Amino acid sequence: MNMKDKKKESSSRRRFLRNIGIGIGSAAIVSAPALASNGGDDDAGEKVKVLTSDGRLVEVSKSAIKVAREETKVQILESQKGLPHRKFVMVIDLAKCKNARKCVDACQEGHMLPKDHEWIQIYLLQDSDKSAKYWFPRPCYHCDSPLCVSVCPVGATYKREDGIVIVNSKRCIGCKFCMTACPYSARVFHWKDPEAHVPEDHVYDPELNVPPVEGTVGKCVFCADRLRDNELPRCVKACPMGVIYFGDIAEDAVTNGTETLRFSSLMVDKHGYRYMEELGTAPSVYYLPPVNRTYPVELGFDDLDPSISERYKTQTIPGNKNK
Amino acid sequence: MSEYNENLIKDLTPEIEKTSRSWYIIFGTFLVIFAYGINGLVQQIDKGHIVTGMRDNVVWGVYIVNFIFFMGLSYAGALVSGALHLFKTPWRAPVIRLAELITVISLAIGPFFIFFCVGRLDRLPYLLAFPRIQSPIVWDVIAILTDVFGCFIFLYISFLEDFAILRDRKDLNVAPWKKKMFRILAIGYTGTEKQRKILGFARNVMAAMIIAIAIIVYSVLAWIFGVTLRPGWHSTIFGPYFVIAAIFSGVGLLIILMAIFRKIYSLEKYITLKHFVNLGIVLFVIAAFFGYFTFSDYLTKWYGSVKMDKILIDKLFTEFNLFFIFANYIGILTPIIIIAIPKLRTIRNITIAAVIALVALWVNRYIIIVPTLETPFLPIQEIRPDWTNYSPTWVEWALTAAGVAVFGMLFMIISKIAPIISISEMEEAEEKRIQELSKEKES
Amino acid sequence: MSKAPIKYVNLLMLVFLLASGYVAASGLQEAKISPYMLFTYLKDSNSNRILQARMTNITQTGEVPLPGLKIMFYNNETILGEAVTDNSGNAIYTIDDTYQLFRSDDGSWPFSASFEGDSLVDATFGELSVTDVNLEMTLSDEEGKKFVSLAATMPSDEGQVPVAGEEISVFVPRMFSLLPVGTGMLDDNGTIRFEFPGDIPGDSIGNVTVIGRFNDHYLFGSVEKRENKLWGLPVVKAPPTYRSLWSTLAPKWMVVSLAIMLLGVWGHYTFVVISLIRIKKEGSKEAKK
Repeated sequence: MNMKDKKKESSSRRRFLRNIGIGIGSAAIVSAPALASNGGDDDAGEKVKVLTSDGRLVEVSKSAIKVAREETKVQILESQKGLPHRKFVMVIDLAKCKNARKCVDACQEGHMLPKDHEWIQIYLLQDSDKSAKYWFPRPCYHCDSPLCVSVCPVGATYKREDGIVIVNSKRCIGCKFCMTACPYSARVFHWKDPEAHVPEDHVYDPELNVPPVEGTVGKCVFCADRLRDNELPRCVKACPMGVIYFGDIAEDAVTNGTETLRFSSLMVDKHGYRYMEELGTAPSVYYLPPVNRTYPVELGFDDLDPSISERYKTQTIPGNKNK
Repeated sequence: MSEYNENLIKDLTPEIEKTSRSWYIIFGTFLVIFAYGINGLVQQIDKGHIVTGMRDNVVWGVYIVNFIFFMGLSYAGALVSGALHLFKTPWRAPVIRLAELITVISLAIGPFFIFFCVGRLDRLPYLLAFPRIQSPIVWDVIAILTDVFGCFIFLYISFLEDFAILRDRKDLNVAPWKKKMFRILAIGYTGTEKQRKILGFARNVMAAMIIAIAIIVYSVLAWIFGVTLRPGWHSTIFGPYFVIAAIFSGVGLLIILMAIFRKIYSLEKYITLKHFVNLGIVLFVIAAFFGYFTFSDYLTKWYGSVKMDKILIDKLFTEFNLFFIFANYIGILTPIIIIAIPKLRTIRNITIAAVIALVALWVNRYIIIVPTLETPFLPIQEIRPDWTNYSPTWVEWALTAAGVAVFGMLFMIISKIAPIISISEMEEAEEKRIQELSKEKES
Repeated sequence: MSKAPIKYVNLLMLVFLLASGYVAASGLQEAKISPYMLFTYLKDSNSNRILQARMTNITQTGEVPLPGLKIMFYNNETILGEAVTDNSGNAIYTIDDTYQLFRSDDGSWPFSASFEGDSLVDATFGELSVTDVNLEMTLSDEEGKKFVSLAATMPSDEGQVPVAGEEISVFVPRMFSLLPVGTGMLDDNGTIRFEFPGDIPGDSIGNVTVIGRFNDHYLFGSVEKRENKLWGLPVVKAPPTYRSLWSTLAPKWMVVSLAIMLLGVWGHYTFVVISLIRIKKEGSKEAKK
């Protein structure tokens, strides 16, 4: 095979991988070791061509794939139960945030969101006239007394045992009551077709919540799909400053991917608090106040797209016209 | 059959017998407006809700305002006709049918605006398949279904005697299908003593039920807003406040429709100034209550104010200033002034007062819903203007107009099938009047 | 390679497909992926010596694991073996216990790992040198306090020599990472004693794994000893709220109130409908007369 053919083959494989790779849960791709262990099943009957993890095209019996797909379907019911014996909590260190927005990008990429959908949104806040401004990342707080869950008429959003409030895009009727009920503006709505493409046999799973569905509500789900693999959520991993810590409150440990700390000592040493505690929603996200800051606030405007930096010139204190 | 009754039937049934050309023209206009609205709806279903003005902060806009508005109109029948019936108000006869019709028709239109606002129309059945009874929207669904059913029964019961009368009229010049319809709908009512008693009792039961249900329905609607934490919505007064506002709008519409039908069907003999003045006084009282509730709500919000309440009130008095003045000053004071001064109590003035009140109430719902959604706890940090401030698009206005057009069309169709003024009520009223006259003569 | 049950494999497909999607997407046009290799050494609790090469692609939004790449492991110039990276991008090779490793002049073992490159991914390699160390951990309870004693010795020409002045820590494994509960320097005898905190949450009966570990040490790599002890606080999960505003089932009082109201209203409706039926019956009775 000459160079041109080789290039064509690799670029078509690339395209193939790219098309399927963006979709999740397709059972048409099986890993090489798994094939080695149960491939060549003679009595399976119909065979189908699949791409293995090392780029080889092999034939696998169709029954093997069918079984796998049903396994993922079960997961929708599993996703309602949540991870047993866990209660997730997030700690955001406002002293370190400099609006790098890598968390926003990673979240949007992982969940196939359009660019104007921010499940984690960075605000520039100022508590009062004389206080300093600070960057404020706001994911969904997964409240222990969630108003959004209480008002959902069809049970499309529900709180699991592990504390995560999840959205089932297959059930949501788009009444937007949860959006009016959430006091933290944590939810976004798909006003038009998000034009996300997934492979045909993709099975929907509320933990990853892909593809986004027009006319439904979406929000941060603490990357419940990654938690099943003991992986940290995408925003936690992506933050270059290590601003976001995540962990199981029952284990009393939170980590930002680099350092692991005891949750209780973090709360005591750095006075962790919850935003608008008086609302009574009992959020699962704690903040560490922006004292002894690592970076000046102005650094957050560096390298920003003007469409984003402009928005911070509106108002930092709601109601006060900004200078 | 007495001469009065003969004249009654002659006056009240001609519309059933023939259709004038102007009827067709007006109906056609409504139909065109309705078609324009449907076009808007198709655009919305095709392109998604992005064609409306609603965005991530103001997620509820003109559709919800219309929903609450139309549901409020249904109070005309529910409370006015129910209360008038139970209290046996002497002058109720000509207006009671109109009131019940308003109820049923506006109940038929109102829920459609909810459907327009919902993102996934194809999943509406989930409301009935997977309801969560902790949700105020499910309370609303249950309440509205109950209310619609109840109002239909109430309307039918009050129509029953008229259907019997029309069925028995030999010289009624209508198509045979209409005659058959009257016969079926009259279900063999012949006015015997026993039947009268059963019907009378059933009617009283329904009138009482309707009042209770109507209050519950509208309170539930108010609690959809009241149970959230938002400034401007998290108000303890919302339940009663919405009920009063609904009665206000219902009575206003009743006056307007009375004036319209009086004019076009030449019913000056039956609907007189007295009826306008009496309903006007009801409007006056309700306006006073409404003004009191509004003042009470805003006074307490303004005086000892939490930061977010202060921001909301600032917004109302700057950005929404004109709306606020129209809805809460002009809308309340005009009916009060017009009806308080005896010299101003003409049919024309009272109707104008009703029109102003009705429009003011629509604007009042708008400034309850939209400014609150524009002031969330976390500031809106957005540069796109349509995401910061809500401005309704042509789709929303088209569907609003279509809603009004459907209202008109339904009324016009019903006026072709059954008399707008209840013949049986009028007969009953006349009988009572004669009885009273003879009692006076004896004493 | 161990046999992975198909369910586990297919759940990992999520990660893999994401990875391959990133691989494909980031390999835009004709540019090959330039991988980053993290090459580490671990001596685990059973004294197995494990070489791990983690291959990732650094993109705008973070690190993406690269599965399916064949990594060759070397000791000096000698091939030790090979492994293919799994779905997390890890290629693991366990050095045989009996294998005699080549030692450099300073007494350390030189290791390297290389990836030859393929059509999508550039070639890369990593190196490290490891000095062998023996770690012993003893857990003891004294006067109600818990102590972790660690002792480290290095093999040398004179036999086992204590390791002095090096940093070592005690960890407890948590869901995503290891939580450090104590860090200190080994004394001249190569020993150190930590007090284990009394309030570390364990599992439901209080079991906790205590890990004494050189964490990514510049000489020793990662060396650890693990032991399970009943030294943690038992964590009993609070029962979930069965009936509340936000649960699937509504509070009892709500259900009861709603039932009463609906029965009341629709009961009246039924009565009225029955009345209408009675009227009809009366009417037909009259008609028959």
